[in-house]
Amino acid sequence: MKFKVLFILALFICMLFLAGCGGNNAVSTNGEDDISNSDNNAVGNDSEESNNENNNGTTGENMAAEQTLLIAADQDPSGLDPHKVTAHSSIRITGKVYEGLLQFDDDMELAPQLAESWEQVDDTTYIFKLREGVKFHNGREMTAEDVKYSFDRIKDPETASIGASYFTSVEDIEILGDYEIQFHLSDAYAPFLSYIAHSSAAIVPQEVVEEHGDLNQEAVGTGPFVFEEMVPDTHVILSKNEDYYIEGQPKLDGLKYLTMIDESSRIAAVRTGQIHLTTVSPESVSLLEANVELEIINYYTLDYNYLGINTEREPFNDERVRQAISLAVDRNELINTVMGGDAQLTGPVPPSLGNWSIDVSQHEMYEHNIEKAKELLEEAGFGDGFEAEIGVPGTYRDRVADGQMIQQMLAQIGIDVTIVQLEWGDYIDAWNEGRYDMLTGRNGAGTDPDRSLNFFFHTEGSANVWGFSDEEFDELAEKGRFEVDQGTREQTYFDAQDRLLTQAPNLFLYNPQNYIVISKNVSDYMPLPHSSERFHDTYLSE
Amino acid sequence: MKEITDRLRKDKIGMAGLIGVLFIILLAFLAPVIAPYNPTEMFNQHRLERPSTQFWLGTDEFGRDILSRIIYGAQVSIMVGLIAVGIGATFGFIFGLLAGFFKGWVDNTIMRIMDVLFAFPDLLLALAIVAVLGPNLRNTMIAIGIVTIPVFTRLVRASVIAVKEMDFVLSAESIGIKTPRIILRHITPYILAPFLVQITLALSIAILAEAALSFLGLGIQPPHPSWGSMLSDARGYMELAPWIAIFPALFIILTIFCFNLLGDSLRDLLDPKLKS
Repeated sequence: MKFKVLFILALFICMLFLAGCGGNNAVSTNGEDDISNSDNNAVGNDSEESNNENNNGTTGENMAAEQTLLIAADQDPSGLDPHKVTAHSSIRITGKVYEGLLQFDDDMELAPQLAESWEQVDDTTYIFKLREGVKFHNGREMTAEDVKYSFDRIKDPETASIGASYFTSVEDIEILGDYEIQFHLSDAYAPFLSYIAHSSAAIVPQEVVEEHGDLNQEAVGTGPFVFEEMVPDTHVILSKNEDYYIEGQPKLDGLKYLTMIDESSRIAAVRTGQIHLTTVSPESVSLLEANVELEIINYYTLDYNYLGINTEREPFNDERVRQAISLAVDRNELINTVMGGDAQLTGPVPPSLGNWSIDVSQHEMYEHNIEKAKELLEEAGFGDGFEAEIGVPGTYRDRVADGQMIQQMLAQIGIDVTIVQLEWGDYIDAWNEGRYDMLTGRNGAGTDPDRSLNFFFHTEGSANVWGFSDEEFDELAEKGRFEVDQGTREQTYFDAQDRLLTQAPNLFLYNPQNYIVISKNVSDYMPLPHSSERFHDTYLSE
Repeated sequence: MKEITDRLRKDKIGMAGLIGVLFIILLAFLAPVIAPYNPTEMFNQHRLERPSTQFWLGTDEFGRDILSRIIYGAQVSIMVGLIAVGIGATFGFIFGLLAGFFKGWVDNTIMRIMDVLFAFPDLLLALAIVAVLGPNLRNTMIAIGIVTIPVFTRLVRASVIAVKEMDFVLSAESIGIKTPRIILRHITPYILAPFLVQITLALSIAILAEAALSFLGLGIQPPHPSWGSMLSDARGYMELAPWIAIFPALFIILTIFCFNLLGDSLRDLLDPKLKS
């Protein structure tokens, strides 16, 4: 009897083994099949696309029945008011619902959006001609009145709009007709048009603002997607704007942003086909590369990670101390350790912005030189070092890691750093209040060097939370702002960047790459440095 | 007392728990001696390495030695456990004695406050306290301490009420012994047994709470290691380098397990009803 049982058990185990092997084989052959299949599909997609181009409008058989794009977001949106929000998690929503007068096209050139055309009459006067027949999602037509209202709202100090400082030079807005509007500036202001194309210059309907008091929980714009609902910590749902003024766009029926702060859950979700698109960190790329169902797209963003220094506090008000910190921080080491090598050196204007940025690799503040740093501290009277606190946003792994690495690096020159992890909302408060000696963070440098320099570091800049004030820099940054000749403007901004690096109110650590994972059936999607989510033409194929 | 140790020696499961607990405490106290590396030193050339002869339990994303971090993490766990439970037990003991002995409005006031504290889920209350006080190790200990007060208070109060009606207390009162003396000399020894058991159990709860708070970034701040924060950091590398997560998790599990074994067997040993 006992033998029989043992025999059966042994047999069972053998079968399990066999089944296991068999299963593996089956999987691997399937895998190969999948590769060739998907290749075929890819070819099929191409021909489908060319078909589409030929007989406009018949996007047909290749499209899947279900056209809701599911996106896993790494952070919940913090409010939806397009004039106020700064976090990417919010802008990615408001950017779909609202539009501005102008936009940037694929080559980062200015292109029409709600304005059909524009004209610079003289140095300080611009006239925009609006597109006719554009409707807000509540059905009312958008006119020059709304444009004026929106810019008045941005400029109104009570709105506390993040874009207010972009438009300080706008003196007067005049409605010339239902579809024509004129902006008059106090001075020549070079970056004016690129700010008009910024996401915070959104056109909003007055009645919705008045009805709800603000736009933090409600969103009614003219964009390709209509705001449906937002459930905190869970999801945001947008649906297709059926009346969108561009025929045939968007192709998707809707977007659903699922909040998944934890990266491993985003990865699991994209692997199992639960979602179509998400961002991942460089480390996780190797886990997904082998997956034939997924495609990984990487690109250099316009963002940079930084170490912000509160320049009003002792001893950081001494530029020599800040320079010592800059010399002690090995940015290449950060790139290798925190970003796995997938990032590049950057100054305040990231290299991805093209001609505007200077080559920082040769800058004296980027040479990793502990001896020199110690000498500078000595000169400043802090040869024995001192204690300092760095605040880091706890939910962002890279910024916590930056903090930990910098702590080690600063220990080498005798600065004893304590790290304080902050919850996201608290971190934003701390950033505004200048609560810590230093903060690690990430900035979007924007599409014009004026934002990268004036907005963040001018004495009057809206985002200059560092208390940084340097006459020479202010002068250069202002000069660039009012300089209309492109060549001179470039040189001025080079000088301003150089000055900023030497003054070191922030350390610009690196310009990261973004990794977006999409499932293979997402078609016609390509992220750009300035807009990672343009879904006008995107659709889901079978 | 000797009787207890004798009996504990015979209880194999309890012994196993005791040895485990002693082992962790030893780890904590001898950390600087036995840890192979400095727990915050980053070996940049050895990031995310699997366990090897050089790094017994592998390295994390900064190239820090996991074994050294676990050993130093034990310090944090034990310290938080002892101090937090110390706070909870001390206040719980005082409040419980007062409430149980004096009854009336004293009892009412204390117990209603305890009810309020009880109404919150433990971790939520600790989270709220840390959020208000600011995240660091000291505040974590205070928060966990406060959370454990009500359990001790109830336990002590219940025991005091039971003991108070016993003949030897009544006779002590009747011959005019002063109240503080009655409490200290006659009541306290009697309720010490359940109190001790509760302390071992609370220790494991406190250690777990510290791990949870650190996991949420509210405990000890980086780069100093705690088992919870190590686990939290490891989340992003679960597939790439599972050893970063597995070993701290293992230590948390084993420590809690040992404390609970010890607590259980102490309870059996000290329970007068189970005396054979």
